[in-house]
Amino acid sequence: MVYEPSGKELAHFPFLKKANDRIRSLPPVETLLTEDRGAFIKRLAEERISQSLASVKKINPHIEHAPEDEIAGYILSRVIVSSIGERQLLDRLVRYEADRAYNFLRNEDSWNSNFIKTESGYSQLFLYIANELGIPIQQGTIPMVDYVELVSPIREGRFRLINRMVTKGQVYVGDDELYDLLCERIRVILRRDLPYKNVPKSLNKKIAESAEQIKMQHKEMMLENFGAVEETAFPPCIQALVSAITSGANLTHPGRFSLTAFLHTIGMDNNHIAGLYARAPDYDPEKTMYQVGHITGGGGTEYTAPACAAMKTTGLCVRPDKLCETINHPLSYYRKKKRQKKQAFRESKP
Amino acid sequence: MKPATLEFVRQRFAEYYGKAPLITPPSIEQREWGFVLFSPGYPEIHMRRHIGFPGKDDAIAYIRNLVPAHVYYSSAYYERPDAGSMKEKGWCGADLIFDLDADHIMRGPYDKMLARVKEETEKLLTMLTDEFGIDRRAIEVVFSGGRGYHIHVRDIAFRSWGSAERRELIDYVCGIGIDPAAMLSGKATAGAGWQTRYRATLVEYLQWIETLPEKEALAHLSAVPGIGKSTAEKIRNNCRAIIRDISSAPDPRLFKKYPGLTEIVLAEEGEFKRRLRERAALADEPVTTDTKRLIRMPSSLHGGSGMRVMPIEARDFASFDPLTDAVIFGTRDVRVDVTLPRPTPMLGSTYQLAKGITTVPEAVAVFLCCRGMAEIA
Repeated sequence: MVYEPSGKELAHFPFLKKANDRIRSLPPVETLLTEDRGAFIKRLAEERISQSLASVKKINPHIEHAPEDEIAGYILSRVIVSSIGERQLLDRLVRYEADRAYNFLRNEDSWNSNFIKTESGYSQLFLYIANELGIPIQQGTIPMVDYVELVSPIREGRFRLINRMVTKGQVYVGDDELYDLLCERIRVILRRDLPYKNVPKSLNKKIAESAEQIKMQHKEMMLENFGAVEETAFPPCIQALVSAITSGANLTHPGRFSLTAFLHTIGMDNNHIAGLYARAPDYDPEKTMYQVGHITGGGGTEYTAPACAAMKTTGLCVRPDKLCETINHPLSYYRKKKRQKKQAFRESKP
Repeated sequence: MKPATLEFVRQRFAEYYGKAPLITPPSIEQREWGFVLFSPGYPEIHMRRHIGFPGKDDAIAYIRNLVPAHVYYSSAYYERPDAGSMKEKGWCGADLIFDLDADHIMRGPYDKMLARVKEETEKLLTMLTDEFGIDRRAIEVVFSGGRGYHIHVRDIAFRSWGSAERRELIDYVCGIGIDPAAMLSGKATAGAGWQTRYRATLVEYLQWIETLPEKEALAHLSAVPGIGKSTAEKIRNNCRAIIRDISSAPDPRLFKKYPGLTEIVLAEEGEFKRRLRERAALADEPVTTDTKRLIRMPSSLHGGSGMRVMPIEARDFASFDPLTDAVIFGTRDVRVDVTLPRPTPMLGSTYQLAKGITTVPEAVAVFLCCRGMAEIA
């Protein structure tokens, strides 16, 4: 492909290979960070992460900084979240990057003076990005092998191969769906290399302050989302698990796992979680602490609470209520219920 | 298995391995091998695995020398196939495998099971070629020697796939994860694939409802969870219209337009799902998603039946009859003591054996001894 993306385009899609070439002229990152320009780039990086954590995200297609600064800010933001290493931060950041890219592509005519729609119905920039990310597009279909590689990390049912028209090795994809697929592809690719390993200690030091600030913001966000643990807002499945333990029953392995991961995510500390298991007939303090520690990230992987679909598969979804119909994750139930309760409390006050 | 029986079976296997042409897999130096030997205590399974061979001749010499009861190699390719742990082996990829085993599909007499699993295999092959677009020449079909068929796809495009990608294919093949709305989206003239199968099944089901006497139809419909008497009546009276809409103007909104339709298609263990399942190819899911599986070597013998693990040419598949074509032993008389009398179909006849001592052709004797239904008398 002969298309050469402009600086402005690269500033919008800083993960493209050409974007890397663009910042070759900048001094090495550690030197840069000691300069004023570096401080500015650091602010851009912090802003990026901060935005990824915000509940309402502002995605502004009119980028005013120099493309080099924008691209460097993008890379530095990835270095900062890598140094923190928290999975949720990494996930949030790449999700934000993918959403940005999606938004810019959807509204390309509003910001890109190079915008040209090709015969395929997609812009030349869209085709360029799709090509770089390995999505071959021809007449509304994608070869089956490429399609499967593209959708296997996506959970959504409508993208499953079985729900597609598949014939002679070609999978039909709607025009709009291709934007979704591209967005998802960006997310997967950007997530794949994170966290960066081997960030030099000296560099880690230079970004430590930013990292601290981000950590604080993340903590605040978690508190705001989940706040003090409120058992009365637990979804029925989790309530059932809690009452099973407290009545002295043994939980199955998936039961323990789901409960522990759920309680950990909503902010209950490990001692408190382990304490819950003390009532189980096969209670073994050491083993329990080990298991809790493992699920909550002690082994290097921090597990998230399973979604409703997984709870159904393991037979842990019990007595779903009206609110359950509106959510697909026990954590969403908890968040919603808490909000409802707060609201009801406010309204009950004269 | 008594020592005399073990010796008889082992000798037959030795005879076969002594002269039969053996087919080893491509990239043999990257495969892990596993063997079950006729050691004392057999058929108690004790597998020797983590074995590697530098080349074809080494593998064949090993097999001829040891005369194993079962021979397996890995569908996976490894840097060090003989390393003791999966981590050390260094996984480089794996063939795409489908396993169709009658045990997972139905119970019944052996020949009936084999016939049924062959139908499933045919459905699978059609999906692989017509829908996935896989070149038939990249597909090897093998009779497993037991109760089914193995499909090896060696197209390099799939080799590096992990379990998640393979799951997409096996779910597709088995009809898992269907979204009813997606099935009614898109044009009326949809090509092959699940949309066509789904719509045809729904039409066929509604036509069946129409043919039932009113009382029976209503009883059937109101037995569907979530459907009451009045909805059942509406569905029955609307069968024609629903069929017309599905065929000429498919749309996910039909589920809203015709109350009860959703319940029909979602009912677990329901009539609709049963009919839909018939259009799937019921392959064994874990085998396909496991990228480190050992699979029987085509051209080896199955120690549980004495039959040949038989590679089948595409053009021969339709006429392939395992109970003749995969039987390799002769017709000389062998005296056996039948302990588990069951009708045994083989080589075009069905042997109605009674408990006790009797004389059968060698091939039948091997089969009975391997399956633990008789001992050498």
